[in-house]
Amino acid sequence: MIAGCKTIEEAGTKLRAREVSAVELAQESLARIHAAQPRFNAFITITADLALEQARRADEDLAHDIDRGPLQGIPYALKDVFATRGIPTTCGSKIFRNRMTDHDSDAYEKLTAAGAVLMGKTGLHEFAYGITSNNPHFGAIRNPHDPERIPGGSSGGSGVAVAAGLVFFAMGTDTGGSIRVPAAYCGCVGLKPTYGRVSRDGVFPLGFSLDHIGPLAGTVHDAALVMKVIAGFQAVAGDITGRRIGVPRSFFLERLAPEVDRAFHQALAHVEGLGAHLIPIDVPDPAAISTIGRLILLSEASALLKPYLDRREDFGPDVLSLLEQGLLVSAADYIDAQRLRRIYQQRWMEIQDHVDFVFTPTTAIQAPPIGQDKVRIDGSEEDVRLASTRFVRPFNVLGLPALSIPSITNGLPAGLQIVGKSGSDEDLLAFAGSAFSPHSG
Amino acid sequence: MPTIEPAATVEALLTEFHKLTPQLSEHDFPAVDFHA
Repeated sequence: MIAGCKTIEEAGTKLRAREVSAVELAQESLARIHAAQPRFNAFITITADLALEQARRADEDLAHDIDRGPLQGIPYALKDVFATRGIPTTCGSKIFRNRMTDHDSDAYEKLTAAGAVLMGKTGLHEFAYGITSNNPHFGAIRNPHDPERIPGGSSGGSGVAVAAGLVFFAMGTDTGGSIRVPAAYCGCVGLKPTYGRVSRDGVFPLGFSLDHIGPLAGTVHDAALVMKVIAGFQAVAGDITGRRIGVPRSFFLERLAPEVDRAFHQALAHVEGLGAHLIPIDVPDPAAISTIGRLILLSEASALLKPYLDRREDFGPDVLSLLEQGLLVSAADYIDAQRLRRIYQQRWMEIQDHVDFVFTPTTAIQAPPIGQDKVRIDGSEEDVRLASTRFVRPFNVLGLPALSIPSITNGLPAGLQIVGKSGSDEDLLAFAGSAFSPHSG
Repeated sequence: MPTIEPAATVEALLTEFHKLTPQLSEHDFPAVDFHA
């Protein structure tokens, strides 16, 4: 909470009532960021001077009745893959530690034009290629609910910055769950929009055909306000009664940690109580879709970062291993993966004729301890990376909008994933905002 | 105790992947979209 405001809307109301200034919001955000940095390591670069300059400009505009919309004067952060002229864009890597760009990312341009106030660039898993955010070059990023646990990733710093109340929103990228996993582990809202809905111009890629840009925020409504600025979202009615919720019979309900299972079924009961219809569905083989996605990502990431592989010692061991694996995938297999992808996209569209949304847990587990590679679920051990991504990666392959909403269970958050139809991002956020607002019962 | 191992190496991943490819026909074109 910054200046007593929980949401962007509250802060905007106070700004326009002159109860607080943008400079005061920025100063309080900066103080919180500096105080939290030794504990959580959420930021790679803190842009204090720029923030105060942008905040002063927002105050001057408001004083002259120049209203740039809901993000004017609002403190936020960018994952350190968004290009920002004059500020390093490291990608969380040693290789780009001092990299400066001669251009701004499209998202940063739009946010700046809307009067938002950049507080800094957040930390991430090296090159956004992993989900722990245990970064060998900039240090581990830590979960605000328990600093001994991971925040998820790869947009770990963005998840922490929002969940710890350091900023009102933060931008992330999602190639295989990198917005939704930290949202679930840190306890905030995270949106992976429909593929292509938000411009990736000026954002360092990872998987060319899998990358998505989206916000992490405290509430669904705040995420929608950010999408209005960066993607031209229009407000739509958030009806709940009669909406058809697809509940997968298999895969997404298998091998769940008990608290995740409990939170998921509570969410189902909640929306049913509000008048939505729960419809059991059979979904097209999500494990196959994940396999296709992993093969595509291995190929695309290795093609992207191959020019730097002569500097092996400058990569963390996990990222180096993935890059070397990707070089072993043949072009024929990559093309076949893209052919299979279309088949599964078509099969998924067929089930979406019968439901409006699909509910799944975001992750199978809650945030594990830093450095832990395996988790035990239902008496079996599973790799932390797979337990974190097996429910989210399919929707990067399918390109569908997917939103993670947090619930606190045993002191740690768990995420509910709501998947919409392609291009129905506004409907998805409107429904989720109505169903899971503090006033929805 | 059963252990669920990830397809941690590319060989294991390709083995899983090649179980899917027989469903492809000459009518199946790639879904490549490098939207920026």
